[in-house]
Amino acid sequence: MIHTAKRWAHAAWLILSLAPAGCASSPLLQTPHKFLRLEGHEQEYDYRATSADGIVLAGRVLDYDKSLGGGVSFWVDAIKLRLQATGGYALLKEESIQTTRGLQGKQLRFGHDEKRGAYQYWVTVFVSGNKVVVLECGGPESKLGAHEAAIMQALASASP
Amino acid sequence: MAVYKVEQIQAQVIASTRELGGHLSEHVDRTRLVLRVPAARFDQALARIEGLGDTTHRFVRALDVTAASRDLEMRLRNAEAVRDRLLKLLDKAPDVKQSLAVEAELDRVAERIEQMKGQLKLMSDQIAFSTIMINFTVKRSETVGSDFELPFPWLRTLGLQHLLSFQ
Repeated sequence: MIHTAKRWAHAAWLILSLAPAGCASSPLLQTPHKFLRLEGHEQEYDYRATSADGIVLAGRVLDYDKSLGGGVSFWVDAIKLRLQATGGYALLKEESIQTTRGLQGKQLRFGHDEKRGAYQYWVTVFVSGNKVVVLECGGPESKLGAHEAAIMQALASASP
Repeated sequence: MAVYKVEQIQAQVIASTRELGGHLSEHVDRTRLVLRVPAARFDQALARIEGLGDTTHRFVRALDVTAASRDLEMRLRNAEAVRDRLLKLLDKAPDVKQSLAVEAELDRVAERIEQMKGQLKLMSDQIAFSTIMINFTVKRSETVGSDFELPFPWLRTLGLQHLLSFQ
């Protein structure tokens, strides 16, 4: 009897110790290779991960009433206005993007001079049902290139 | 103009201006360039410059200096005629006292002539060259201030500052 109880206790410990790891997998993005997902201090983001060399990828899922209008183009314009007019960001590239599940979106790539050199900041927007998915990625331009393929693969995995 | 790699873009703008026969008139750190380009190549210069960055505001103003220039030329001709008459009077001056008086007036007219020639030179430069002033938006405040602001607070948290901060 005691032996059986011990076995149950071990099983319960095992289940409890595995549970947080199961919860850690992101419902929004697949963490890119060479990135670490951050948890615990993410007030503004639903997802955030960083590479060791300073490239940060983040995402947020925002609710909105699709019946009121809008769509990807509205959010793209709003983001451009915010970053170009008031943030001093230069738009380098704008292109359509699609997730592996067929969600259509837009990616805006901005450049920004920081004290430490040239930085890039990418914003990718998808609209899915009544949700807006905003994915951000940024860091020193000199480091970003090495991670581009992995980041683009992670972005394509977006699933709000 | 919102640009990326400001120093590099500024160097390209200056090089492009020189290629078109213009020159740099003022350079204020990373924030402003004032360029003078031949008037005939103004549109070409503007197109080249706009191709180098992300133009956020554009304002073109034309100043017509034709009437002012014509008026100045007429005043100059009159002044030169007065100078010539004074020179003739100087030759005919009967005594030292009158000679000194004419010379004093001659000096005053000559000075006026030089001033007007300088103004005309400046004006002809204004006619021949157009001024292009570029303000570079290097890094502005992250606060929206009095600009139009959409009612979505999350837009204010976009940007590298938030993204790269872990505090």
